[in-house]
Amino acid sequence: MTNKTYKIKNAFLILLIWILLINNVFTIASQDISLDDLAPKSRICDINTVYEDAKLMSDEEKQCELEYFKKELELSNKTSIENKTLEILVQKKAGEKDNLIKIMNLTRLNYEEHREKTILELFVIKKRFIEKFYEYSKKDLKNKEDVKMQINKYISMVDKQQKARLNISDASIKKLYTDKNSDDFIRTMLPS
Amino acid sequence: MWKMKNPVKNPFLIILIFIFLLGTANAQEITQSEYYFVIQDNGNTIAGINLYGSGEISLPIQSDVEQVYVEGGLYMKENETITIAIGTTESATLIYQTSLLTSKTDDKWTFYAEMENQTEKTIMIALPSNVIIQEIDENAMIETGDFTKIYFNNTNPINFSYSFPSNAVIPSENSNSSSNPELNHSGISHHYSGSDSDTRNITFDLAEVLINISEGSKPIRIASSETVSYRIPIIACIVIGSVGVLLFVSLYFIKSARKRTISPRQVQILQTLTENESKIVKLLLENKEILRRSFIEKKLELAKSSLAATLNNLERKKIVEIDKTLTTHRIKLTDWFLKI
Repeated sequence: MTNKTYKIKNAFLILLIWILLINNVFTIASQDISLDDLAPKSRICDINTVYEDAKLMSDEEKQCELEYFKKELELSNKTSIENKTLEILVQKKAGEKDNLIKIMNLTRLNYEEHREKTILELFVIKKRFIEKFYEYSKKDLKNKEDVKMQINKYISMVDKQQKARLNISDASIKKLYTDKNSDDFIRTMLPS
Repeated sequence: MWKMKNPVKNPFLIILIFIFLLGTANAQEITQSEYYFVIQDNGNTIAGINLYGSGEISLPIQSDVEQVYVEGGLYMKENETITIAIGTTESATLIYQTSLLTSKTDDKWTFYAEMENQTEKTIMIALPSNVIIQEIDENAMIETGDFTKIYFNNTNPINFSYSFPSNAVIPSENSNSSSNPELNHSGISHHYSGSDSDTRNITFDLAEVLINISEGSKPIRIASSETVSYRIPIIACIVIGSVGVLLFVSLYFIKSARKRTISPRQVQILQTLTENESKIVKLLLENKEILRRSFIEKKLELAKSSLAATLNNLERKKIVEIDKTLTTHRIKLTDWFLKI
């Protein structure tokens, strides 16, 4: 091997070592930045935050999501959301984002103390109905009040765990034919 | 050896799978319902519906429905449809009032109701006790009592007609004239009142009602059952007498009609006669009695000479006999001619 060839080989090796060193420095620097992103102080939970499994969330993640839903449902500090409900909401956010937004809007129409129950119940109702119901509520103030009244009445019925059934009997029909008071008859028909 | 077919290529299997999937999809639907239609005598209907299951259902609703009462579900009323969504309550009720399920033509009422096709339905319709059901589906079950009930099972649409009896008496309030219900000429005035038991005990004689109605357009009063009982024998006599007169008149006309019949042989003889001869014979056949010569002369407007010649010809032909013992000759058909 000649002296000239030896010098070229050494220069090439030194250059290679330099490239590797610079690469390492950049890699370490970029890792520092991503760690900064994951720090609790910079966590932001919104409608786009998605978790594959809500049950595997860390305490910090749960807390973040809890704050997000409390804010969306306009819940004060005195009202909280149960862990089980939170997990369901996080799952819905991952799978039914649009439906969740509409349901949260409808839920806000009910009283604060009933909102947790309301949001869960509205997820049982078919999506296509929620969509129409939401559009109907947005139309005007009268519709909004109607929807508010309906949701409140519906949740009261759910709370009672009572099946809706007409109170109709031969005696009530006979009474209608005697006194001709249809308003009174309708009142007696309504489920108690 | 049996060879298994590729399921993807077998349409029968695909249809089976599809039906199975449909069945599972319907497992969480609203599948059962109970309809109650309470029809009042003014045609207004109060509809009450029980819905069972979870999901969404659209029900047809009439355009005049102003207020709906829904329990156990969320709902939206759009045009002539109400959509109800049921969640964990798994049942809901709907009540509304409408006048558009019934229509009236003259004295005939028609009830027509269309329902959804999603559920298994039981339907009960209540009507006042005095209605007369006219046309109805053969599968309907009718029950009478304090009011009339009609039951249907899974029938859609419901369509039937009914009427109220023309001599019906409808109870009203604040009156003690239980023994004197009044009718006006156009129908029933609602001036009768009393308890339910009073209503059941009052009966009317239809003949009396009809006689009173035929008296004229002035308001008339129908007698109570006590008064009616005194008059029954008189009415019976009148009815029997009328039937007797009708029978007598009918028999008279039948007999007259028989008398007027002419036998084929007589017709043949008539065809051989001259015009005047034929006229005289027909007149004698119609009257079937002895006629005076002057009567024939006047009736047929024949000249005396012509009549004399014609009668002589008829006598010669043994068709008529002429009695000349009296001043006015009398003519009758011969027994031979009458018997042929």
